[in-house]
Amino acid sequence: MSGDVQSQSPPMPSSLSMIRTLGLIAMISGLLVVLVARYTEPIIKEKERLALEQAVFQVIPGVVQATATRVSFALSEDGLVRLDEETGTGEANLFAVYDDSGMLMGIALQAAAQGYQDVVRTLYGYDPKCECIVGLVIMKSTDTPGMGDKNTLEGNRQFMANFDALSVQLAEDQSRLAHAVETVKHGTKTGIWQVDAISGATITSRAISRGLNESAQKMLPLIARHLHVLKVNN
Amino acid sequence: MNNRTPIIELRGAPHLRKAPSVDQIMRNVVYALLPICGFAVYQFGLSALALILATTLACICTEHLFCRLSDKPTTIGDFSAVITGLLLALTLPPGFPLWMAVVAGFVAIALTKVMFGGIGFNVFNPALVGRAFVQAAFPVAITTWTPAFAPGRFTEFIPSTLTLPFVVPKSVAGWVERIAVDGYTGATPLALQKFGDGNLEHVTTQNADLFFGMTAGSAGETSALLILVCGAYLAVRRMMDWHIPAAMLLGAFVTSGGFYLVDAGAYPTPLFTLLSGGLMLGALFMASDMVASPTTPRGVWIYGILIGFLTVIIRLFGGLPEGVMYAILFGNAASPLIGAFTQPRVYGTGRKKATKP
Amino acid sequence: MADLHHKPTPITMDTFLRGIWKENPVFVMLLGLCPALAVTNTTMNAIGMGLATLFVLVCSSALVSLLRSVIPKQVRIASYIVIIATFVTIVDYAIHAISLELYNALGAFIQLIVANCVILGRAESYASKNRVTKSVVNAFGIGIGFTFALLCLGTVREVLGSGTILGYSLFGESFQPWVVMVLPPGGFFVIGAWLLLFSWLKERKQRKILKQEETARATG
Repeated sequence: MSGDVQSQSPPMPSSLSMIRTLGLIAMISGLLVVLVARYTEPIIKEKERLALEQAVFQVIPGVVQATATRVSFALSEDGLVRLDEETGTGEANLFAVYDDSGMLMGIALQAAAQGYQDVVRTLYGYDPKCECIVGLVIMKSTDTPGMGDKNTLEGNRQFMANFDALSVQLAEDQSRLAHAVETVKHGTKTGIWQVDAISGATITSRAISRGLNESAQKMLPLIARHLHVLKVNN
Repeated sequence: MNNRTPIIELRGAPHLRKAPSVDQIMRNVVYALLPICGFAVYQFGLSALALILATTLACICTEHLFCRLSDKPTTIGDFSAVITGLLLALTLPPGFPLWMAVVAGFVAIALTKVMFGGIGFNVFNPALVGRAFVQAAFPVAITTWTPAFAPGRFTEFIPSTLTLPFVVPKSVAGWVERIAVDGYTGATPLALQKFGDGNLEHVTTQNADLFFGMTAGSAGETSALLILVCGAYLAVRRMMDWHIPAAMLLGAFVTSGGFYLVDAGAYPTPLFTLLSGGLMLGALFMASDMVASPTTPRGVWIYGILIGFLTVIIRLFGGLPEGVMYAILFGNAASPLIGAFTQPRVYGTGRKKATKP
Repeated sequence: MADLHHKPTPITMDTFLRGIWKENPVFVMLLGLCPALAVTNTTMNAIGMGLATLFVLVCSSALVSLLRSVIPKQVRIASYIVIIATFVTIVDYAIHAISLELYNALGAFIQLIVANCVILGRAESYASKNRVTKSVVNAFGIGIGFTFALLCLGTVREVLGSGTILGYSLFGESFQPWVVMVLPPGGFFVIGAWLLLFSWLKERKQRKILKQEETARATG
C-alpha cells in the first residue's frame, strides 16, 4: 500500500480524501464504542453496586445479608438527602444498613488518605450506639505488595482487630471527635482511639487512620445531627 | 638473554617492579578478610561459620557453573569469587537462613559479575548486589538480629540458620529469650539509635563497645578495630587505594558532624556514625572495589565523600536504619561519570582548555 | 492495489507460528515491555493482559487490513491509532464488565494497550500490506506469543513472589515469599532470566550446527 502511493503520487492526495477517510474511521470507531458502552454499562453498574453492597455489609457486624437492606444517602452541611436505588442522583457518601424490622444496624462511610504509593481507600462501619468504628475493609491499596497491599492488610488479624471497636466518641460540643484517631508504633497502643500500626507498613497504617480521622471528624458531627432521621428505615 | 643467571643483574631504566597479579591481590584480600571472619565465628558461633561457608561455596559454584555453560575456562582460581562470598557473609545477619544466603551468593555472582563479563567488568560490587537482592526479597529475615556471645554458640545453631529451602525461617524470639543475658535485645546499635527500644526514643551504644565489636549486628561488621587493622594491612601492601576509605569516612564524619551540631539530641554523634553498622566494612572492603570505583586521583575523593555523605543521609532520613549498602551501590553507579569528569590533565597540555579535537 | 496482489503468498502454518516463537514480541523483538513488566505480578493479571492485547491486536489488524486501500499514507498513523484506541476502549469496558477485580488490578494498563508498540507495529508493517485473513492469522500468532511471554513472566513471579498459582496455594503456609518478585524489580529480573535462557538455547543450537558442519567437513 505504502509503496503503491509512493510510486504513483509524490504530491499529496487531496485533503478531502484524507478528511473522508478519517471521518469514516472515526464513525466506525464511534459506533463500536457506543454500542459496547451501552451494552456493558448496566452490567458494570450492577457489579459495582454488588461489590459496594458486599463491602457495606461486611463492615457492619451481625448483618444477615438476605434480610438486611442498604440505603444510600448524601450527607453534607446542607442536609441529608436520601438517594433512591434507581433514580439516585448525586454522590452517595453514607450507607445506612437496616435489619428486617427496619431498625438501624450501622452506618458505612468512606475514607481515603495518601499512602505510600497511592491513595488508600477504605470503607468503615460506624455504630452510633457505642460511638465507635466496628469494621473496616480496604477498598483499594496499591502499597508495597506483601506489606501494605489490600490482601496482606486484611489478612493481618491483629491489625484488623484495631477496627473491631475503635472509639470515635464525639466531644462535648458535638462538633469534633473527643480524641483524634491516631496510629501509634507497633505494640504501644494504650487508648481505645489508637490504632496499633503494622511494623513494616507504618506508612500504610498511618494513612488508614488519617483517612478515618478526616472522614470521622467531618461526618460524625453531621450524623449526630441527623441521627433521628437515620434511625428508622421508612 | 643467555641461560646463565648473572650474579648481579644489570638492567637499564626504567626500573619497574612487576605489578602484582590479579590472584596475588585477591589472595591478599582473602587473608585480610580471614581475621574478620574468624572474629565473626568467635562472636556468633556455628551459625556464622555455616553462613560464611554457604555464601562462599555458592559464589564459587555459581562462577564455575556459568563458566561451564559458556564454554570458557573456569575462573574460580583467581579467588575473586571467594572474596565476594566472604564479604557477602559478613554483611548478613548471623542467623540468616542458609538457603537465602545461597540465593544471595548466586545473585551476587550471576547477576553482577558473570553477566557483565566476569572479573574486571562488574559495574557494581557483587556482594552488595547480592545483599540488596535478599534485602528486597526477604525484608524480615535480613533484619532479624541475634545477640552476640550467646552461651553455647559453638555447640548449637541459631534456630533460623537451618531453615529448609523456600520455608519461612523459624522465629528466633524464643531462642533469644532463652539465651539472653539480663534484658539483652538483639537490636543493632543503629536500630536502637533510630527507633529506640520501646522506652527511650534514641538509645546510644557505648563507642568502646562498637569499636571492639561487643554488639549485635551483621556477622562481620561489628568490630571497627579489627576491620581497620585488616584494611591497614592491605593499604600498606598497596593492594587497596586508601584514599577511598579515607574519603568515605571523612564524608560520613563531616556530614553527621554537621547534623550533630545542629541538634545534638536528635542526631547521633559523628563518632557513633563512624563506628556503627557496616560503615567500616563498607569503606575498607567494598567501596574500595577496584573495578567499580573511579581511578582518577580527584575522582576517588569525590567518590568516597559522596558515599559517606549518602550513607549518613539514608541512615538519618531513610526508612532503613542502615544506608551503607545503597550508598555504595549508588557510588558505583556514579563512578564512570566521576571518572569522566575528573580526567587528569595530560602532561604538556595547557591548564585551561586542553586540546580541542 | 493491483500490483500488490499479483504475488499473494499463501497462508502457511508459519504465518501463525512465527509470532509465537521466531518473532515472539517480548522475547525476540523486545516490544511491548511496559505491560510485560508492569502487570505480570500474578498469573491471572498476565492472562488478562495477554488476552486483552490479543483481542485488540486481532481486531485492529483486521480493520486496518480491511481499510488498507482507502487510508492515505499521510494520515495512516492517525487512522491506526484511532482504530487501535477504539478496540482498547471496547476491551476496557468488557474487562470492567467481566471482572471488577481484574479491572482494578490491571488499572491504567488496559488503556495503555493503545501505546503498545506491538500493535502499532503489526498494523504498520503487516496488516497494511496483507490480506485480511492473513493479517488476522498473523496477528493471532503474535497475540498468542505475547500472552505466552506474559504467562512465562507471570507464573514465575507469582510462584516465587507469593507461593501461589492462579491464587491457589502451592506450598502451604510455611512458604517464604520472595517479596522482590512481585515488585517492579522482580519483573526485570525474571525477564532477564528468560531472555538469558532463550538466547543460551539459541546459541547452543547454533554451536551444535557448527560442530556438525565441521565434523562433516572433516570426514567428507
